[in-house]
Amino acid sequence: MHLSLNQVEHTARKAARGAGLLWGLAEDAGRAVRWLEAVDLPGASQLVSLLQKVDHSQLGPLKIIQQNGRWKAQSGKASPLIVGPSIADCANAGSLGAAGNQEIYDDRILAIENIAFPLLIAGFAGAATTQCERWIRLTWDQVKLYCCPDGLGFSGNRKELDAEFTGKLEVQLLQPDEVVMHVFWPLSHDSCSLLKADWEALESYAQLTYVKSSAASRMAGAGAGLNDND
Amino acid sequence: MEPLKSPQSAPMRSPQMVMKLERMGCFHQSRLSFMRALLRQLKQDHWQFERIRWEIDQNGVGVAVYRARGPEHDYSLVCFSHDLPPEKRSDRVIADQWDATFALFDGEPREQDIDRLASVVPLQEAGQCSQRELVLSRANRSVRLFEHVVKSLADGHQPDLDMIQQVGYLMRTTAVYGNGKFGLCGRERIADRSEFTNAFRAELLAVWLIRWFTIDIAEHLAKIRNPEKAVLMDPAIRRRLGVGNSTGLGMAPFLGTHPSLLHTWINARETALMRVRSLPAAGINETHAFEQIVQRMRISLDSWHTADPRQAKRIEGLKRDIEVLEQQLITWPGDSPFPWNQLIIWSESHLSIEGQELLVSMVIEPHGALVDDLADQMAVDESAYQGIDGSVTVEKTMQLIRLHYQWALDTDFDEHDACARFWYVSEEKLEPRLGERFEESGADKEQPLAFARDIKSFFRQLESSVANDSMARFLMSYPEHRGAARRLQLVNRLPYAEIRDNLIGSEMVPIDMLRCKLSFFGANKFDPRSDRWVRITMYQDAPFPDEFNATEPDDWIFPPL
Repeated sequence: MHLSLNQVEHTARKAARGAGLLWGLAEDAGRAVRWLEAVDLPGASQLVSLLQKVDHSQLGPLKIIQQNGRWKAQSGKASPLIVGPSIADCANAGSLGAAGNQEIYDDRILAIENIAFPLLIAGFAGAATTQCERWIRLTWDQVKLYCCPDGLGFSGNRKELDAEFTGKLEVQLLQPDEVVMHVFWPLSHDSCSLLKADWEALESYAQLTYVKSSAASRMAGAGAGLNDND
Repeated sequence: MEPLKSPQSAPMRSPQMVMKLERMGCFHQSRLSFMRALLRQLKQDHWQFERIRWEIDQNGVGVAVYRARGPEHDYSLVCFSHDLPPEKRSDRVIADQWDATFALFDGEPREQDIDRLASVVPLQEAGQCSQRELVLSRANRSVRLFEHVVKSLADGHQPDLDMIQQVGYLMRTTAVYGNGKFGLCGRERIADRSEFTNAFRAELLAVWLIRWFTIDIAEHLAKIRNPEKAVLMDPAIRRRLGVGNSTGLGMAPFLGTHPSLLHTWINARETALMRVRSLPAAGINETHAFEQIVQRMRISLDSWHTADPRQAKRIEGLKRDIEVLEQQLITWPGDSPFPWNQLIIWSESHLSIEGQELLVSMVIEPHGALVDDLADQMAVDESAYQGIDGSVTVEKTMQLIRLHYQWALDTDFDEHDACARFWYVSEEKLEPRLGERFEESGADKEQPLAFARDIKSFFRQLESSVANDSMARFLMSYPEHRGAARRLQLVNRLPYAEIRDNLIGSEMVPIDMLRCKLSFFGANKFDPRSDRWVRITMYQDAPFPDEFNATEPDDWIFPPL
């Protein structure tokens, strides 16, 4: 299906909320999906798979803890929808140590353990680079991604790009001149194509944010009669 | 005469003053309003307009196309005219049939485009547009006026001017969608075209062309009814007709969910006011023009009708304000320095809030050369304000909350009145609505518009946190406060971004938000139909596309003397 980025962002945001995330986090999730779709990567599809496989209805187990210089979820797999915003906050602060981890400094690498759908992290990191004036490198398995304000650089094994899980994701802030890229996917600033099944899945999560209306609530809530002709 | 002080800037009005809903609900259109800025730009760039297709049958059913040709791009309003049974006619956004449906098409549609649009546009929300369509809209005929006008023209005479004044439009739009909704082209794809750089320009171009269609369809039906006798509408009477619009709660959350855009709009208007207030003297031409505007406004108030008691009272207040102002103008500007500034300061203790805001629009009016550039600065890249600076400390964050949100901290959200309402989206038509928290179900699906409550809750959590912890660290532990943290940092950079009122309180009047937004569009004659929806007229008195070349594009908002 051909859709506008705006439509995808808004529906992804509502889908994340519908799956249980609070609005503040869901807003970031919508933007991350939009950013990935704008570089023609399957952000919406990854979000759908994540929401189907990782329970987001309880925030507690998903919260990040810092241990021995690494980030990990309180329990179970870490969610990119929780980790991504924190990486963006640190990038905006100019240091991956900004979250108070004394063992990580600007030039060090931040490691995150056991994270689901790591590609989604690139959406948060990419959106952050427009503001933080630094580029962000993400590395897992055989994949290296360079998130920058104009798009996404890639090198490595394409098959591992949309991995469902990685045991270790590494994050590093870079100066633009430190980057060498083999493949570059530019931000297209346009529309995107989604599989019908993904779009319907997003919409059904989004549906969970809507309130069923009755004739009475329709009258009271919108404040008008059903028919008004003059 | 005292020597003039050296040029200096008058102060900007504070967000604490301007961003109260009571005041925002009193805003009037100004020369920065989008309809006016759009028409100025179309005129300046020598746009040409033409009706290139008219295939409407004797029942008023068919398709019409109007083309707008600019220096670099063509756009076409594709109109589908329907034969709607009267019982199906509803102003509500939840209706599913209309008298006419429209799309603004990027370029000139070919036959296959028209065929595709014919299968999509009449469905409105239920259809899926393509990236070639910029705007989707629909309209219904005015029961009070449409038939009267058709009958009069068919009988060979002009419609009754009093009735035209009373209603102001032949058709009302009940929604005008753009920016990627329902598959439409997203804003980012057209924002680099000079005609659409600023907000809502494509939507308002569509409405202006719709106005042309509303006249053509009435004249067409009159001609069908009485081919021998029917006459066209007198251009002077035609000018009195705008496009009606009914706007309900759907528009209200926009100001809350687009804070950086709200800031740029308010900031432009306040900057314009500041520039005028900073003038050391009032020029003779500007003074004369201003006095004429006051007189023309007095005439305009006489044709502003509403059955809404709150607005009716305000209009009466405005009439008194104009009298008081005219008295004041007998000795104004005199020879005192900064006379515009003095007038504004005087108004704050002598006029109603609605009168003060009308005066703001009126003092800006004669100063086009000084302020019109600001109309081009009313767009923003919203994504530039979405990040959170993780280095800001807990202590600093608390200081910022006290600076910008003391009013929210002073609100006791344990009181039912302070959180009596909740905003939600109805499943039925995806339309924003307002619920009663303690009487209705659904508050668990509340939309994120309870900014005051959320900021206060954020503050409480900060109070029990380590003062020099960073936001990055705090939000890692308390990601539930992410929305409030982002909002605070944005408002600290863009102070007019936040409405300084509790949007879930029992006293909140939703139409104040609608009125604010619609005033920036350039609407006037606000006619509230309840506390949560309002009827307006757009482009009343504006030139029509077919007379555009011969008219002054920006002298239409106040009636002639």
